[in-house]
Amino acid sequence: MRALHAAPMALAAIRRFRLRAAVAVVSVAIGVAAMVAIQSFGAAMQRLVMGELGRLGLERLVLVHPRPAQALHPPLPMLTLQQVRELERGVPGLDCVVPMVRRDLEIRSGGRVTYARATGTVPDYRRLLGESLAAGRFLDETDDLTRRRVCVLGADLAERLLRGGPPVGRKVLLAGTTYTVVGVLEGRRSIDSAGGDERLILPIRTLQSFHGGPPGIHGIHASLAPGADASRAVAAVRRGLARGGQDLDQYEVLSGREVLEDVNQALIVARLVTTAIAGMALIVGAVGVLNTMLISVRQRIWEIGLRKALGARPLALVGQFLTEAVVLSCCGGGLGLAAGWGLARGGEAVLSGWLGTSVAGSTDWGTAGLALAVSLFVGICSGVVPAVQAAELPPAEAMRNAGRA
Amino acid sequence: MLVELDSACKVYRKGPERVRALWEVDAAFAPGEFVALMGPSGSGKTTMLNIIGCLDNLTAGRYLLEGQDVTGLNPIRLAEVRNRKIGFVFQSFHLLPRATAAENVELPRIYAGSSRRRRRECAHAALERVGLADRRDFRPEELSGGQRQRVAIARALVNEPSLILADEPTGSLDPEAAGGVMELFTRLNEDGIAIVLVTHQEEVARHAQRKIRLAGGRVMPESAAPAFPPPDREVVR
Repeated sequence: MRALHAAPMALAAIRRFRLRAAVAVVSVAIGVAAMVAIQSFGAAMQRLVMGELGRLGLERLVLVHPRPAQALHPPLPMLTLQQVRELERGVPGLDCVVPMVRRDLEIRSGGRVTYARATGTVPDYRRLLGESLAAGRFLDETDDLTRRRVCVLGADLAERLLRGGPPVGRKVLLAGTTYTVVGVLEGRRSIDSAGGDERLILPIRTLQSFHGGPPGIHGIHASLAPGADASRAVAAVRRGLARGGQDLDQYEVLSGREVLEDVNQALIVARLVTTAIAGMALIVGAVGVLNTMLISVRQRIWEIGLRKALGARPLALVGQFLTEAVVLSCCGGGLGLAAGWGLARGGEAVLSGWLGTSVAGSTDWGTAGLALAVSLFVGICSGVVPAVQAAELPPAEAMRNAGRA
Repeated sequence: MLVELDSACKVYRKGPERVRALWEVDAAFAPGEFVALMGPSGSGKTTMLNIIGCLDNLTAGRYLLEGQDVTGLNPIRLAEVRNRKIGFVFQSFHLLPRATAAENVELPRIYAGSSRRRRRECAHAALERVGLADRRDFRPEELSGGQRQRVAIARALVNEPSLILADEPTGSLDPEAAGGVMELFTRLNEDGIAIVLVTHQEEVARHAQRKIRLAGGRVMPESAAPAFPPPDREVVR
């Protein structure tokens, strides 16, 4: 029962050396908080990016792009609209196939001039990407077949160019040709339109007819039919391209799922790196605790010698220093967990407000537990090991060693 | 006998050397005796005091405290002996910094397992006995040297031991404070507490009933004057 006196003695010792105790607590807390916050924030970022990509329906897509080496040349030079239609009919497992042509065009309205990257495409573009409209309508089949000079604007481009008055029905000049704005896409903030939705969308045949440039198509997005297998569809597209007499080396055909996996891999690597950095903060914290505890070893050895001289049993002494180390380390650990959790939630709140979407991370309690365990281990060992060693010494020796230093 | 040393030897290792700090010392103190251990520094007087106080182990020989052989006691029994039977006073006070006088005096009572109330009462009584009842909430750093040593004496008294051991208790004090402390020891001795005190000052030793002179780890015969002390340290092997 006498060993119970260890607790009040330990608390008294903490009170007597408040500053040292505070430094030890803060060191533990910083390490744990860094681990918890960074891990949780990393999870939030990953979830955010993957969530946004998921919302684009990327995993239901098959993408056909020119090889990167050819990106600067007129891409997919041999692929014509006709062949795209054949691909759509000839490849099983594809729902809609959307070709895209791009041109950089000057765009004027009123006195304002700006440049936009125009995308020439087909009406299915909207269905494929799940776009909704803020005003007006999207392109339709007739627009394309009759090469009408109509366009749909991204919300931010419309806002910038057509300030004042409703945009639908307004005339704009694209590289000198007059177009009518028939619709505006719903403004949305997401990773594919960072800096705003500046899209300018025209019927593909209109773009090819009025704005020259190289023939051919810059890319195809196809969506998988329900129940279709992505990798089988990719293989089928490649076969379809080969059948059409295309040189397969010039194309990259991949499924959206592969893209997602690549992005996910990259995010995991990024998280590992940030976690390693947080691990260093943890180590720095642990060294702080070690240092604080060891600074007092001389003082401690003397105190142990004295207490033994006054009749303390070895067990009571070890109990006292163990209690002290456990109390300090646990306070630090608890504080660190709370601070880390708070930082993570605060960071998410700020990010949510900034992006306009809800960002939710999750605290991985395994990581938190590991950080806590490391801090507690270092804190407790550095407090107790010297105490146990000193408790073995005859009191005269402990007091002499400490006193002469 | 209160204390009986029988061929007590203490050998320290100091690197490759072995130093005989105490060599075949026989000594016996009666209850209530006031003994001064004297000798030049390194003569073994502090070692002898530490052995008597169970702060250090004998290398060879036997030590009986109140007839009980304490040489082979386990650490728990030794802690009890130090706690109940012996009070310690050191040259440099050895008070816990930042703890009040009363908290310092209470310590041996805590290890004796007294209740909080009893501890407080005993601490106040002990402080009163050394004349510091009005200083019990002062911290060591707020007290003079003489007052600190009195707090240390109160701490030595708090478990009502039969023996108080003091290692150069006046070594860090000015003459006036030293006089006060020695008066206090004399009064405690009159109350029946045996006192063994280490000093190299004749002025201090004068308060004792008996002087034991040490040199080179051995007890000198009564008649021998300290004029021809053997070497401080005898190196064996």
